[in-house]
This record gives sequence, C-alpha cells and structure tokens, in this order.
Amino acid sequence: MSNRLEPEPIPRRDFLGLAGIWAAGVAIFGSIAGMARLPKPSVLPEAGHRFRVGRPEEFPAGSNVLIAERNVRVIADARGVAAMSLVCTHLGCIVAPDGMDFACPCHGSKFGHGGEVVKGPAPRPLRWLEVSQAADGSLVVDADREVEPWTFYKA
Amino acid sequence: MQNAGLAAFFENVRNLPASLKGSFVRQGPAVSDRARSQTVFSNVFLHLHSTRVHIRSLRFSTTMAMGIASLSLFIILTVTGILLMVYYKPSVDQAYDSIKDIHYVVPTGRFIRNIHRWAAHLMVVTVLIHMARVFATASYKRPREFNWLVGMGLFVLTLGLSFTGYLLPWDQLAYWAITIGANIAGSPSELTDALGITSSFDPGGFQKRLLLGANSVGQEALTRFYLLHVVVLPLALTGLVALHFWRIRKDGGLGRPEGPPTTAGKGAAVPGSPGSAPSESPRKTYGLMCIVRDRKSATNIDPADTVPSWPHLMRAELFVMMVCAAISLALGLVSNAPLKELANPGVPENPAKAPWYFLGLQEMVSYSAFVGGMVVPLIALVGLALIPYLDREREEAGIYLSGGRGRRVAWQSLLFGAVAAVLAVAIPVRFGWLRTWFPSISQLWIIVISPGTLLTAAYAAWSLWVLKRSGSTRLSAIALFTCFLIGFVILTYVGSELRGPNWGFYWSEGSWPVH
Amino acid sequence: MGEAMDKSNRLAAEIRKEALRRDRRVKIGLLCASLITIALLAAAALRENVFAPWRLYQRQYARILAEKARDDRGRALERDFRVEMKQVVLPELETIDRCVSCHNGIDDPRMTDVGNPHAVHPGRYLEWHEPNRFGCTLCHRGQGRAMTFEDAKAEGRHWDYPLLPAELSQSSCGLCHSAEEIADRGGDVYAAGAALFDAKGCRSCHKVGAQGGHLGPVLDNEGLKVPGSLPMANVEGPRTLPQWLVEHFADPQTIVTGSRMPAPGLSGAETTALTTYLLSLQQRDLPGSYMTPERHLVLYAQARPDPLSGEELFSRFCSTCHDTGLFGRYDRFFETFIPAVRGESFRASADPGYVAANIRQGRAGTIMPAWGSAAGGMTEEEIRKLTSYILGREVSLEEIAANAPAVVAGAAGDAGRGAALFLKNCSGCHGADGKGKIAPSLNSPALRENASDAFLRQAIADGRRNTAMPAWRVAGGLTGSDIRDLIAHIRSLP
Repeated sequence: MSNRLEPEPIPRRDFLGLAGIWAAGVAIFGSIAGMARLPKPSVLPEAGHRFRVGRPEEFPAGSNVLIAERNVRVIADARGVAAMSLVCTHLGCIVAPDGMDFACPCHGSKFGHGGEVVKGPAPRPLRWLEVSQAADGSLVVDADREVEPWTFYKA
Repeated sequence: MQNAGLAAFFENVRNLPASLKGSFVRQGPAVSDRARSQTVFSNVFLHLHSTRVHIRSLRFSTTMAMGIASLSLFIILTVTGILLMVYYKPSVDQAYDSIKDIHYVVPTGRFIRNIHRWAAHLMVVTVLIHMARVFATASYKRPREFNWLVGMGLFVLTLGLSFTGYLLPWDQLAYWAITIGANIAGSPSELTDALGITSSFDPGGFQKRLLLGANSVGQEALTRFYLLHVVVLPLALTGLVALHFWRIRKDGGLGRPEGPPTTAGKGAAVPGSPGSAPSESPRKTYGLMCIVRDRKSATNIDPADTVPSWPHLMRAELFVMMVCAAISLALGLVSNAPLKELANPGVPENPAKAPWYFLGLQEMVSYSAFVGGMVVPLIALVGLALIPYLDREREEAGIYLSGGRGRRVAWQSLLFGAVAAVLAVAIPVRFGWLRTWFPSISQLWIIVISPGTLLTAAYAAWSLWVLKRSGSTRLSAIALFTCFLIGFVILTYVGSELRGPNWGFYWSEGSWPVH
Repeated sequence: MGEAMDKSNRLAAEIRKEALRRDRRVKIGLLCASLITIALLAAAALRENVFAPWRLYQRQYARILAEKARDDRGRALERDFRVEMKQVVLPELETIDRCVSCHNGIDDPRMTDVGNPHAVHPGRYLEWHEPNRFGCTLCHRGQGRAMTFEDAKAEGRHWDYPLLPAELSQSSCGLCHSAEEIADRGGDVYAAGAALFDAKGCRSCHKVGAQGGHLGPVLDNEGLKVPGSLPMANVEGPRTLPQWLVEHFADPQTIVTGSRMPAPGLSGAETTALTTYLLSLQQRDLPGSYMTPERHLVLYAQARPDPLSGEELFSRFCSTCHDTGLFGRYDRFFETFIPAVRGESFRASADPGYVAANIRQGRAGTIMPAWGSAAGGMTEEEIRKLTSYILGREVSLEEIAANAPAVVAGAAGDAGRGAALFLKNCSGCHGADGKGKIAPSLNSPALRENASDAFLRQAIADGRRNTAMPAWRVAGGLTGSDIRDLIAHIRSLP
C-alpha cells in the first residue's frame, strides 16, 4: 500500500454486493408496500351500501315511502320502482319532507319533488339510486350507484 | 429596479429543484472512504455508529450478532405493533373481536399479527443469549459495568413489554396468565400474612392494585397494560437502547479479543507481544473522520485494526436485520398466533400457565408465591446487576469463558446446576413438600425452606466454593451464572412440558386426566 | 520507523484481506436472506389475495352465475357480482356474520342443483328471516367472523358455540316464537321439545322462568352454557354443549357424578326435540323488535304463569314424584318414601291449611321442594287450586288461611313417654329421628306448624287406607293417651 495522504478510492462495486443491496431494497420496499395495504379495510364494520327495501308487492303504483333508517325514499308508479337519496348534497345532513318538497335543516337547502335544487347552498340535486332485484325477488337499492333522476326499475 | 427584482424572482423559481436539493443535502454523494466517514459522522441517523470499527468486532463469534438481532426484532415489533394498533380496540367488549377481525378480514392482518407474536418470543430469546454472551466474554468488566446495568434494564423492559402485550387479546390464555402474574405481584402478602402485619403494611396488595387498577383483572387492567405496552415501555426501551449504544462507543467499542490479528482463529491475547493491547482499556474514543496512515491516534486503537463502518458494519447490520426479518416472516407464515376462547372469569384455564419465560418462576411459585415471584427474581436481578462490581479482576473482554479454566468451571457448574434443578423438581413431585408432611406449619417455614430458596442457596454455595477453591471472582461468577442459566432452562422446560391440570406432574400431555 | 511502517502496512493488508473475505460472506448472506424474505412476502401475498378459500368459492360461483344467466335478472346478477369479502353486520344482535362470503347462493332460488357452499338455503326459512336482518349464527351458531369453513364450524377450535348439527337447527326458534305458532310452520322439532318438557314434568325439579323445583339446576340459560363450565370427563362424542345434553339425557349419572336426575328414557327423536328445546333457553338481550307478539305473550306468561287448572298443575309439578297421588310408594332412585297425597284417608282428615302449607313450605330435609312464590314460584291462587285438586273438593283462600289450632286445649301429652312409644312403634318406618325412612318424614316445620292434633290423631288411630300405615288403635293397641303422648313427642322432634 502506498503511503499517500490522499483518501483511497472506493473499490469497484462487485455484482454480489450490488445484488445483495438491491435484493434487500426490494425486500424492504415489498414489506412497506404490503404493510401499506393494511389501513384500507376490506370490509366496513357497518351495514352495507346495498340493502333490501322489501318485495315488489309492497310498493304498488302510487307509493311514496320514506325509509328512515336507510335515508332513502322509494316511489312507485306504472313505470316501476325508483329510489332517491335523502342525504343533502351540501354537507351530508338528512333532508326532511316539506309538503311535496324536501328541506335540509342544516343550512337551509331546499329540494323539489324530484330532488332538484330549489334553494340553498346545495351544489347538486339529490341523488337517485339504482334499484335492482335480488335473486329471490326482493328489491335492492344500491347507495353507491347513482342513476339519472326518475329512473324506474320494472320488477 | 423592478426588472432586477422580477428577474431575480424568476431566476429563483428556475433554480428551485437545485436549491431545494442543495439545502437538504449538505454533502455530495460519498465517493471515497473519507467522504463516507464524513457522512456517517455527520448524519443524524447514522452518527450513532463510529466511523470505523475494529475488524474483530465484525467477527460473528465475537458477538453472535445477538445485540443487533434484538434491535432488529424490536424494530419489527414496533412496526407491526403500530399496524396492529390501527384495528385493535383496548376495551374488554371489543378487544377479542378486534383480534378476530385482524386475523380474518384485515388485509395482511393475520400475517402481521403472527409476525408480531413470533418476533416477541424471538426477542426474549435473543436478549437472553445476548446477556449470556456478554457475560461469557467478560464484556461487563471495567469500563463497561454501567452498560451492563443498562442492559439489565433493557432485559427487564423486554420482559415487561412481552408480559403487557400478552393480556391484550383478552382471551382465556391472556386473562388467566395475567391473573397469575398479578397475584405474583401481590405475593408479598404471603409474607406479611404469615407475620400478621398485612393490615398495616401491605406492599403486595399495593403492587397488585397498581398493576390492575382494581382487585381483579378487568377493563382497568387492560387500559393500563395497553398504555404500558404501546407508549411507556417502548419509549423507555428506546431511550435505554440509545444510551446502550452510546456507552459502547464511549467504553471503547465492543468487547473483543485484543492481540495481533490473525487470519485464522481468534486472536488470543498474549501480553507483551507486539501490537497487543495495553493493560488499561481506554476510557474514551474520539470521533475520527478519517485515518491517515502512520499517525497513531491517542486512543491506542491501532488504525490498521479498523475498517470503515460504511460499508462493512452497515452491510453486516443489514444482513442480520434481513435474517431476523426472514425468520419472523417464515414463522409468521406457517404458524398462527394462538387465540383461545373469550376471557371468562368463571371458567379458569386448567392448567393456567404464565408466558413461557415466566414458567420457571411459576414452578417455584407453585410452592411459595412469594419465593418464586419476588425473592428469587429479585435475587437473580440484583445478583446479575452486581456481577461487574463484585468481579473486578482485570481481564480483557472477548475470550469466551476466559479460557480453559473458565470452560472447565462452566461445565462443572452446568452439571451441578442441572442436577440441583432436577432434584428441586423431582423431590417435591415424588415425596411432596413441607405442607404435605406438616399440614399446619406456618407459611414462614415454607418461605424459608422452599425448593426455590434451597435451589438458590445451593447455587450460591457452589459459587462460593468455586471462589474458595480457585481464588478467582471471575470463575465464581461463571459458576453462578452458568448454574442460573441451566436452572432457568430446566425449570422452564418442566413448567412448559411436564405440568398438567392442577399443576400436577405428567410426562406427556397424553396422560393428562380429563376434567 | 520504516520497519514499523512496513509492519503496519502488512497488518493493514491482512486486515483488508480478512475484511474482504468476511464481506463476501455477508454479501452472500444478505442476498440469500433478502431473496428468502421476498419469497415469503410473495407467498403471503398469494395466500391472501389469490388462494384464499373464499376467493376460490366466489370464483366458482361467478362461473355458476354465468351459466345460469338466462334472463335479464340473471344477467344483472352476473354483472353485479364482485369477488370481495361479504358480511352481514347486525349491531342490535352484536353480530357480524361472514358466512355469505362463501355461501353466495343462499337466497337464489335457482341454486338447487349445485353443491354446497353455493346451494340455496333449504325450506322457507330465509323467506321468513331475511339474512340481512337475522344473520346466520343466530340460528346455526358457529363462528360468524371466520373466513374459512373449518374456523366457522369451530369444532375443537377454542370457540364456545360451534356450528350446530343440522337436526338441532330449530334450537333458536324459541328465542322469538312461541311453540304453538311455529309447530306446523318449520318449528316442529322445537314445538315437540317444548311439549316434552311439560309432559315429562321437568319443572318438578328444574326452574325455568318463575316456576319450578329446586332439586336440579335452574335452566334459564342452559342454551348458552360454555363447554368449559360442564363436566366433560365422560362425554364420548365431541365436547360441545349439544353433545353434552344428548349424552346427559341418555345417562345422567355417568355424565354428572352424584346426579339425582333419573334417566328420562327418551327415544332418539325425543332426545333431539328436547335438546332443541333446551338449547333455546337463552338469557340474552334480544331486542324486542325481533320477537313475535306470541313470544311476548309467552314471556309474559312465564313471568306471570298461565292459569292452569289444579289437575294440570299437579301433572306438571307433582306427578313426577307423586304419580297419581293415590298410593304411597318407596322410590328406589331417590331412596325415599313418597306419600299418597290424594289418598282417601289423607283427604278425609287433612285440612286445606295443612295441605297448602306443605305445598308452600315444602318439607325441609326431604326432596319435597318449597313451591311458594318466594321459592318454586306458585301464587297463592295456584296453591289453592292444587289443594282443591288434592282434596277432591273446592276450597277457598279463606279456608286455607284459617289456621287449624295446633294443639287442642288441655290435650297435651307426655313427650317422654311418647318418645319411647315412638321408638318402639314408629321408628321402624318413620326413622328414629322422624326424618322418614320408608314412610314420610314427620319432623318438618310444615307439619309442626300446620297439622292439627285431630289430623295427627286420626292418622295414627285410623291409619291410612291403601298405604302401609296401620290403624294403631286397632292393630297396634294404642290408647287415646298413648296417642296424645305420641303427638307430643312428634311435635317436639327437631
């Protein structure tokens, strides 16, 4: 070895060393990626977004039923059955019926008979939800699937 | 004027990437050993390392990597523990169900929980082996006595963490194990009852109520144990770990055999040979950034004996961490952490067993709670803590069992300790003990003459005899430590495998009676 | 100086070589450990995200849906089916049931020709009990939160309530229904069990609700007993609660050492029915909205029992031991004498107050329990009806309340002489201490406080027809004063 005062250069990286470091890196990265999946729950500890509202016979033409525990209103006529959400589109309070219309107690939004915004800070009309049928014939409302207003499902 | 200001502004915006990076990275990439040393020295995360390490510190046989293994497992436990905290609920109504959900539906939950449980068991094992290694290589001697005490503190904290975590699933295993543990904390009342003074002086009751927040295990206990497990003990442990590493630096590095380095075998110290260590280990290291050839440092560590930490030490540390991770993951993949029925105060587990590392104590507790729960552990801890202060012979660290004589003493002590432990179990099993023969004898007699006390006394007597015969405190320390080690192993085995319902002795689980 | 430097350089070179050699081993080790870690991570990821059993079942089900998609609704179901964890969350029942993660076809009437777990639920039970409101474990037990079949079945898996055998599925019907309303609507086994419980007179010894005897344990929560609290040493089958009940019915003495329960002698179907009924006896906080009106009436009636007739009361609570009550008998099982409480002579001489007192207080020291409202749960009206039935004539509450004087004035006898007479004549059957041997006990408070002298005199003098009690005036030659002394002694028995 020379007796220099210069710092010695780093020896050339070998394949083995690089492979080791990179493998370790992948292992660590893989662990982090795996762990990052944990906080997003695969099931929610609450009642689901798809729920049955009853059998088609329970909603004859002319029905206008408010299902309070699901925050949904189900109406039926000759065209079939439709469901409208009662969750105010402003900040999520539950609207109350006001004659034929709906009023939100939180910030004063008002919605018409079909959910259209009549007044108030609400930016969008009330959502209409998809209605379908389960295998045994009961009507199912899906709160995560929005449809055009006045979309009816023919049972 | 405005133009210059605007120009400067836009110039700064253009330079953002470079100036951001420049403010964050104080040095360029390390392109030489000196630059690497500089980085290690000045980086907030890395500067706990010294810039160079002695070549023999890196040898596997010097440390068996147990210290780094313990730290790696602690990191694994912290990370998996934090993840588990996202879903675990420390309430007696919800704890059990939340663990079930972690196992069944939480993404990666089952795997993470298994890893956490296995790493916890492994950490207790590595910490024990680490303590044995440090003792065997006499790495507790001056100037490292205080670090030995810090290590004892870490040992107690590790057991505490494992014990507090044991309760959290709130199943039958947890509930009854902690009931036993709390009653052990309350065991001084055995002594105060026998003396008739409990109504005025009740440390046992005090300890138990402090632990449980009530008279029996319930929501209060769960809250306290949770608090201890996730906040108090981890913080304390982190603090002590930092102190532990800092003291290694200040005490002159890891205990290792001195003497000229050889390419084959351990370098045995031959006092007086060229290059051998002086009789006084240095008390302080200096931070060195770079070694220049042929200038001896004031610390008497020959720079030629050292290699840069980056890459050698850090690569070795990463290797050990990866091995620990691989083992924890493998165990977590194939073996599920146990979960029994929901905790039911009306249905005691039979046999109700403490966590494995306390089973040796539970063996002794079965004769006298006070002896097994308080006396023997205290004697053991105090005895261990005092070793560096009672064994002051000058000796260099790093030679296992200090050479031939030490090894002989160790073997003899192993034999003696094993026989004594087996007798301490076999005699009461076969013949009963004091209360079998004298049913109304005062509990004081049982405390004084209990298998645990007698075993401890036997070990102490053996160690004193070795001291007298050999004239060396180190050899007598080896004798005592080895006895306790083998006693611990044997009693733990007995408590784990040979004890069945009502703590009866059974050679195998197949012969347990059905209740 | 140069020499030292050379030596130093040589040492440095050796150190370097050793470091490099060690390095090489560490690099190989790091590579291997990292690769192993990566492989383990991959294995864990695959196990959870590809090979999890519920995913396999759901993929199978998706294929079945595709095959069966013949109309709009079928196609919509196929399109909407997602492979994901599914569960039913019921906060009111404190339940989360994940059975539907594998049993996807449970409510699809088309799934009749596919095997489990895809098959449709048998019977009309799901029509009556929507899964989203009832879940599955309410009726079937098992570990609802599990995601594999073995864990859900939970046999030998440290779970207190494993999946019920199919024949016991009706065991929860009684939580919400009365036996009558479901007897021919899917609850036949349960209804049979409820009827058997009455017919076999189980309430003579076991209390359920407000009424019952105290010889055996209270059964209000029998359906929720954890296996750890039961003696399982002699159970031959799996160590579960239903199995314990079944084997206990077959042979109570083997299952519970020292048991005083006679074997009920049930057939296989009867055992199933009675076990079903017992499993439905659960003390749990079921929300009232889950129970039918008929069930509410049952609960009300349990707290305020039905107005049964005297004969029905006798049949339900008394006849297990007293049979028809017309004849006294020695019961070999209980090793005790059971008196004829409806016998001719007893009827002729006993006052209503005496009979009612015996019923209300029981006979301490014997197996006759106390049936009064504080103990067995009978109201005074029920005791009156029972008394009427026993005596064969209607008695009123006032008659019962009127206490017969215990001692006729001036008729006190010599207890010392009476003791000698008792020892000679009576102790052979009634026991030296009057505790009863092959004849009824004479030392209970009920007798002391309520039996009139006339009653006792008549019993001793004229005996009891159709029993072993002789007429001592005739056969035994006792005089009137002998009898008075005997009575005095009897009254002094401790």
